[in-house]
Amino acid sequence: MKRSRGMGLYCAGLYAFLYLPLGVMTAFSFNDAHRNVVWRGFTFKWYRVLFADAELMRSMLTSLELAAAAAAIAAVLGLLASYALTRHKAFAGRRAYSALLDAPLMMPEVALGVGLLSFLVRAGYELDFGALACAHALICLPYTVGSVRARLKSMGEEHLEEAAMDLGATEWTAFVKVTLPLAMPAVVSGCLLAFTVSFEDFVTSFFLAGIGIVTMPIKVYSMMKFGVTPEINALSVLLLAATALLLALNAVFASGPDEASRA
Amino acid sequence: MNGESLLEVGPLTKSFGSTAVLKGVHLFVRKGEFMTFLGPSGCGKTTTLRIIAGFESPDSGRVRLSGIDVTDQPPYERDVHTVFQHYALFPHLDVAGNIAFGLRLQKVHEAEIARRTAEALALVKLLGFEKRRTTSLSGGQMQRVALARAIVGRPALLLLDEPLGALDLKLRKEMQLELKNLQKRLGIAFVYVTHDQEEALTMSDRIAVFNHGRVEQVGTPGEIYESPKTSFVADFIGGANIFSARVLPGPSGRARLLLEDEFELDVPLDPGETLPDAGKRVRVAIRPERVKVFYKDELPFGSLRFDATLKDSVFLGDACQIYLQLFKKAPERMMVASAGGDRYAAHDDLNVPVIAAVQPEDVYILEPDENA
Repeated sequence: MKRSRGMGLYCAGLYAFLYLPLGVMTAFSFNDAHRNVVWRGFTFKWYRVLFADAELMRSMLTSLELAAAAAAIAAVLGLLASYALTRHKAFAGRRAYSALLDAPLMMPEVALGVGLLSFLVRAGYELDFGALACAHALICLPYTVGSVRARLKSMGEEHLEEAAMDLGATEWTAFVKVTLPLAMPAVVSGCLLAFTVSFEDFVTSFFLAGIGIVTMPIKVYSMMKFGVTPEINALSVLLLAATALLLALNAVFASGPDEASRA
Repeated sequence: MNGESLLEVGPLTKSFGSTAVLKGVHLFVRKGEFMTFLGPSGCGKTTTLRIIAGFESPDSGRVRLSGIDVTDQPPYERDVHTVFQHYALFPHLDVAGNIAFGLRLQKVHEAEIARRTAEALALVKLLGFEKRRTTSLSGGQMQRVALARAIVGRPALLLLDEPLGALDLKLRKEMQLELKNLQKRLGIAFVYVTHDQEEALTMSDRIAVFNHGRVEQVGTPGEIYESPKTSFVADFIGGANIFSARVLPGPSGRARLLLEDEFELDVPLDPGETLPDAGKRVRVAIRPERVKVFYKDELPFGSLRFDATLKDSVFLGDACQIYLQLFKKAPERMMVASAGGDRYAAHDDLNVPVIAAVQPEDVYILEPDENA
């Protein structure tokens, strides 16, 4: 019993270390004071201030649009790449291609940012929203590929597309009527992850954001220069809640297809 | 080409990487026939099936369906449907949706689809299951849905890839009979892949025995069992004692053989059966159940006699296996006899002299023995 109590204390300590800062932040977002140190009473004031901050709201919208665009691009490319990797006979360089798709996960983002920046500048491409969306799609791609490739692989072992073609479907019809509906939960799950990754990305955006493009993380960073205000606490709480929601959604979609296809 | 022949393949070769999977498979399937591809795993039977379906293309050789070369046609253009080993039912569609999948692609009228789906479900005894999710079905039920989906389009040829492999023994036996009846009723030619020799003998009109990427023998179950042409076929279907024998000079129509250089045998040849020249060696098979064991000299008339020693006996319930030592020069090469369970010899009876008797026509002459 003694041992398990020790273990319980250890776990409690660990969770406190991980989550206490978030708890404090959440508490102070409701604190009716300009400084974080003293509790002065409960208020929603900072949330009102937050939503009244036009610049912050604009950066929020930019980030949402950017994440949506990046996730969409990454989803389409990820689906096509996964299909090629799992459905087509071995082609030259397939393994390298597969490894390169996962590379952005491990690649230092600073190197990626510098590389993309110098490439785009040399290519004479203006650093606009499109360029940033493409860069974000690149860092999102491993997430959509990872999710969709696993699903297509397990589907391949069930010979479902072969069954469709056996019954008269062309490869395209089999893709639309069988592959796509069955892969959709994995595509959505990959999209949600990609969306989160893009939405909170700072480094790549910081390198590539041209004049006039301010994403939410960049905006928060610039606000932080004047100290951690309750307004930032409130924003962080909202982001935390949104992320939790996305993760929950992702859990639903990631587990969905497996249960549905269990033979 | 045979006038009745529906499918003709061959001579097919196919390699995956450096592994030659098919080394010249040649065969035909008649209209309305139940043809079984039988062989151990890795013998090329499934690859041949996948080539017929259009999922693989052969390195060389052609596939002709109703006289038309379909080798380069994709699966969706061939009038052939497949029942997959693990059913491959679409999990996002219900039972009716699965069965109607092919008909919908052909833009068959919905009323007609409903009628034919119900008809197919009735054939596989699953009426009332239309709206069930395929994931909620048992293995046997999924098997029936897969079957209904494949026959609803009335293909000229149905391919079945070890369709009963995932079912338990009792269900397998039931489904074997049901499949056979269904095949007769529909009149569709079946090509049925299995590694189960009993299944093949029970269901087939003809069996093609595959081994190492070749067809070793094609024939009716009776022919395969009663006149195996190679030691592989004799041993894989039914089991057999395989011996080596030297051909001795003898009259035509009969074979005089020196079994394992000890016993001289005189056996009749089947009409048309040929024998290597005198002095060459052949392999010879004798089925265990055709070996009779006697303790006294009371042999049936005309049987071949082997003086032997009873070395061991294995009890199998309804039968027993008796191991007989025949040869002085090769004592380890025993002859196995199978007898009723009541003939089981207790340990006291071991090492006693017995007489083994075999009818001459039960000695099968197989391929030349190149090892000797």
